[in-house]
Amino acid sequence: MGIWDYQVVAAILFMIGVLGVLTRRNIIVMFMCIELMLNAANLSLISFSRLWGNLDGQIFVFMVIVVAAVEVAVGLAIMISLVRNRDTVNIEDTSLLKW
Amino acid sequence: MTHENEAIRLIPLFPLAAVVVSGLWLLFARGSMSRGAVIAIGCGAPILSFLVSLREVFQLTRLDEGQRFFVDNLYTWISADPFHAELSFLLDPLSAVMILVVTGVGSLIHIYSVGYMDDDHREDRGFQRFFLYLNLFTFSMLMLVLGDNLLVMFVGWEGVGLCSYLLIGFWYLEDHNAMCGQKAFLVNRIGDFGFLLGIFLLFWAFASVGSPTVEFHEMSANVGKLADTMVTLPPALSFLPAFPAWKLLTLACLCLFVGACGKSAQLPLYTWLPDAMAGPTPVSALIHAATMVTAGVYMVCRMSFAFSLAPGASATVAWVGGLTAVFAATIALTQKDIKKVLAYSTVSQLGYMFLAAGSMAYSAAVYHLATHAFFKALLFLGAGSVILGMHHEQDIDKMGGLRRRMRWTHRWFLCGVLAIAGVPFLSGFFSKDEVLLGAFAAHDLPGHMALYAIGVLTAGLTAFYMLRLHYRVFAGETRATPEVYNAVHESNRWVLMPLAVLAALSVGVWLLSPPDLWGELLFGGMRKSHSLHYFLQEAAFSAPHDVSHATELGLAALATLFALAGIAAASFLYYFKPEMVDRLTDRVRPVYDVLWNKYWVDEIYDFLIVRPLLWVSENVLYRLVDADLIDRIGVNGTARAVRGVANRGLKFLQTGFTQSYLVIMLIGALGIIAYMMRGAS
Amino acid sequence: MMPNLDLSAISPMIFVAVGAILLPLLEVLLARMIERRRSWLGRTVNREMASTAIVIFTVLLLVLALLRTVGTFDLPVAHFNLDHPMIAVDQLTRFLNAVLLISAILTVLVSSRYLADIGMDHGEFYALLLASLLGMMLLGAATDLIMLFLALELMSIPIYALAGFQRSSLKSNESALKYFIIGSFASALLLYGCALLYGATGTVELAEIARGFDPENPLTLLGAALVLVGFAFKIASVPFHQWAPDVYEGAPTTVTGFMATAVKVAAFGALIRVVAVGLQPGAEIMYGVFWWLAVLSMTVGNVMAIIQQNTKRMLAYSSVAHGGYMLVGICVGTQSGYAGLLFYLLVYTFMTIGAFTVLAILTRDGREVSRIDDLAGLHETHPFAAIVMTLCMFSLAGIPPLAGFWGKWYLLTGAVERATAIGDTSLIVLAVVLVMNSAISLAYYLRLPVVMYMREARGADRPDATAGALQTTVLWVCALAIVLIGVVPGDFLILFGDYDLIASARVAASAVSP
Repeated sequence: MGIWDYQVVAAILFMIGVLGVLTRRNIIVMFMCIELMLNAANLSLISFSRLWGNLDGQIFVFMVIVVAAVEVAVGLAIMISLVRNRDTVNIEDTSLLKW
Repeated sequence: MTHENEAIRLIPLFPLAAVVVSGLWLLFARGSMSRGAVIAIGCGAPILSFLVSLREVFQLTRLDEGQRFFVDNLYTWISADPFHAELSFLLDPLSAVMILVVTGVGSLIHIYSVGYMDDDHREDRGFQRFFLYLNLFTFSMLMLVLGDNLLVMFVGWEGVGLCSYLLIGFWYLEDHNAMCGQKAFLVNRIGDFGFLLGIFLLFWAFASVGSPTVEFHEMSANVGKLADTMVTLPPALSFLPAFPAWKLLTLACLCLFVGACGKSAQLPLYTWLPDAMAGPTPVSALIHAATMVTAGVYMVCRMSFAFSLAPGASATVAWVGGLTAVFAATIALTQKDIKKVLAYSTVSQLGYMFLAAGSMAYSAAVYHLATHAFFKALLFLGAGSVILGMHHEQDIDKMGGLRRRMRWTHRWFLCGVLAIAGVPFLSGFFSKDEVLLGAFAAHDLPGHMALYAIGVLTAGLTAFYMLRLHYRVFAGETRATPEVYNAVHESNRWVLMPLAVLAALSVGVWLLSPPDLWGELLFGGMRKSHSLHYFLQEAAFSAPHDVSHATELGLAALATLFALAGIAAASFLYYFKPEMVDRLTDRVRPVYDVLWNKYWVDEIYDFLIVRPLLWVSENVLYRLVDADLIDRIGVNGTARAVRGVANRGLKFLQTGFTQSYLVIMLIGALGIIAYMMRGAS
Repeated sequence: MMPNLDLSAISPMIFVAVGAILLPLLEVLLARMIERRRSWLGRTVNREMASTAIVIFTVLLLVLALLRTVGTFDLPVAHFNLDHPMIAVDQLTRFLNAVLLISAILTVLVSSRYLADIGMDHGEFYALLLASLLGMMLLGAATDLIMLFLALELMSIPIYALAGFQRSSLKSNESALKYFIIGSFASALLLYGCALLYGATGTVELAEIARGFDPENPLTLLGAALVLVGFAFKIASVPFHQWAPDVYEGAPTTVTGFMATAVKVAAFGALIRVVAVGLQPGAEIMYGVFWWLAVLSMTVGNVMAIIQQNTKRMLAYSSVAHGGYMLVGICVGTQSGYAGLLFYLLVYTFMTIGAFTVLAILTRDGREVSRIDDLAGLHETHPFAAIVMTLCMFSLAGIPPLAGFWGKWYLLTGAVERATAIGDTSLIVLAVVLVMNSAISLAYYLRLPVVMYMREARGADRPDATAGALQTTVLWVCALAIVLIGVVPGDFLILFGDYDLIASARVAASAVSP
């Protein structure tokens, strides 16, 4: 497989992530879709790293993995406090703030 | 030899600091400061300024001749290359005289105010508020005279106007006082409009010859380039002389002079000054006699480099001044309110100053300005003392015989009266002579002999009405009721002390700088280089005159003769034969009525200008234009449309649902991507 | 091989990082000592003293960092790692850091009392704040896509937590959640953009990217577009703004103040660097994007602000509009444009923090002033707060001679200068839109003074709150800054030596623009 095949896969993954965030109502699933977007970017970075023959892209990926982990930690904490207060993980239940 | 002097900024700084301290207190604290603190801050600030001024003016006199100026540059206020205006101060002989008058007379009046405002209990914090305004006025006035460009001067100019308004309406609970304050403010706006036009015109003119500046030294250096610039007037002004091509400088100077007319109460804008007497008497003394109203004269002298190249404008200045002098003096003959008499006298004396300035005898104008500040402040403060003693009675028909109840006030007041009347060897005599000499010697001025005659006549009238005032108040039998008369008391020490100092100055200030002629006669010419005329020559250009000493003495004698005649007539009528007054009045009843009603000028203005304006304003501008067109259709219509868009449309995009936000974001992102990619290959 | 590191270049950031790491430890340590009451310290210190100590420690660190930043402003550019310049400490970085530190100091000063008032006086607050601040400081300094992304996330993630700091409040909860979801989504877009830019040019360094930038390559353009979207989200410009009102309303007030100022400062700083260095060859293509973002943000922000009833929401839309004003500086794209923007950021920080501080002061026992009408008669109950609020509103509206006026003035003159220099009318149109929007904004900015001064306090639903000493100090600082910068925008100030703010902003802008 060539570099551009990886790129196509990455782009498809990214679009799946975007559509998932837009359409799923469960916050945890939305969150997983965001992770999918990040990983699509990672895939793209790694294959580009291969294309250019330098390590910048791979280093980037390590950093992104760390950031994703941190995001998970904070995101789950926010969700837990939501569940405690409201007993729901449906994104449509959070619309107190509007207009 | 450096002309930088950072001490100059201290002079306006002290009053400013007092204003800030006192103002913050009034804003944030309940109640006022203790009386002692108010006095210490309120009077301390101008006194400190005065001391610094004295020191700096002394330094100034020690500089080389021809190089006498100090500059203190605070910071660049406006910077728009190549034009820039600094906030900077200029101390030269002209502003030196002014700051000594402003801080010196100002300090005395501040001290006087302690005694005068003491029994005023109309308002809890009135005492502190009064001193706050006085200090603010002192600060603004110092900005006006020290500013080294037209913009700083204008800031001070507006500042003093504001303070004048605040202080005239100081007892604002009475409608009349508030109305008088408004009148002063509105009439001054007309003048300010002219002043602003003048500034713009000058700036534009200087910019068009490649030196965009409003700084006095630079303007003075470059004014020669403008000497021959002409402007074409619009056809609507075809009735003017020398239509259609005017010198640009003439036009600009006339605009400036409109401003001076407003501030210095000249025809036709003088009407606010008599009404300004509604303010407390120290205010009348400080603002409406000694300092603020002379700002116009100062401005003309400051701009003398331009006026001296614009003979048409100068002639206008001289004639307006001369006519105002005699016009106001005639009104003063009949007035019965002690402060109104003094107010018209002030208008008349200011006319004198413009007469001198228009004759290009700028040093004479400033000389008269200084002496007038002393004796007119003295007269007003004396009148204030009488008003205090009479428990706020101002009608001289209800006074008389106060000499026995108020010995000291009577003496000091008399000094002022004699000084303004032009009795020889008091300060008024010398300055008035200088003014008349200026008019006499101004050969280039059309009708200068007529102006001279008007000046001499006015001198006689002045002597007459001042002596009349004095006799009606202090001499003879009292016309007050016995209860009132017995309650009259001499004023306290705070009031009398400034009176004494001012009286001494009114009598003897000329010794500091006698005019050339008298310096030579009395002191053998040794002091010639010390004369004010000589001192001022550097800052305000004055045409040298070619009048011989013999003629000069003759002129002095003639003026003295008229003054003595006025004194004699007044003494005869009001001291020796008071019963003749009524008979004489009846004999000239029509003339008397015209004068008593002040030529009906206020009524004419009311009929010709105020009422039509109010009608148009109410019915056309307010009802039609403002309420209907602008408010209902313009402002409210637009506002309703905007709110409608927001309330009916945009608002519903903000649903509160996270995913709808994400969708809109995605649409935006796709838009950006599409926009950026349109150029891709 | 030893890496060639220059620690002194990033010493202000080190101060902040040390604080972020030490504060949670300090908090735990003090809490334990107080609980056990064994040692002398544990018996004498109580909880209030402990939290005061934490605040003092934080402020001290921040002030040290600020002094260090301002003191080194004139030094030449320094790099942390001389071999791989990922962090450039130039004048732009220092200027941004100074503004960020000011914003953080003011926020900390207001927060201690505010947190107690909402019953949330926990030391993590300051640790999170410092961590986020560290991210912001790095964001402005990042010259490399990796650093850029890392700093962006380091800035954002603690802010998500701060927005939800009031755990028991439904609104705070929802605010954090929305911010988190939308923020992560935007970050992912930005990351993918970075990946594509890397793919197109083969490098992550901004300067190198500029060299490899091919304005006809779709990969480059797609990457640049996605990066711009990421930034547009952070600066809350229309149509990427919708999270802002919701999040601003729900988050604790002092956090909102911090978000509205510091996040904007950092994001705009990074945007300047990215646009002026990395994407410079694409400037003409991006101009249209920024133009539309600016016009839409100004107009939508102002129009929506008019109909708001909630004070914080109103300020949120106002901040959207101000983001639009600032984008004008990006559109201009010259040194004077960027300088105007940087100056605006500084001014905007004082005005906005001042306004939010007033709201924070009025909070008591978890009850806040929410509706604008609840500010009625404020001049009777809190005269000084009312004065400062009025000053802030006037300044935000751009009324001379206050600071906000000069902010807009420099933006406008930058736009007009540039427009006349290249004969481009679209910039003039932009300037006109800015002026018209300033006029529209008066409609809601003036509403607050009217309510505060002309309505009676009776009927206003307002807790009986008083201002703490630190909070009053912040009010004074903001008021003085607004007035002084306004009166002497050029020479700020003879009183404090030679700090010419606009000149500093010009120097800062010259670090990245020719």
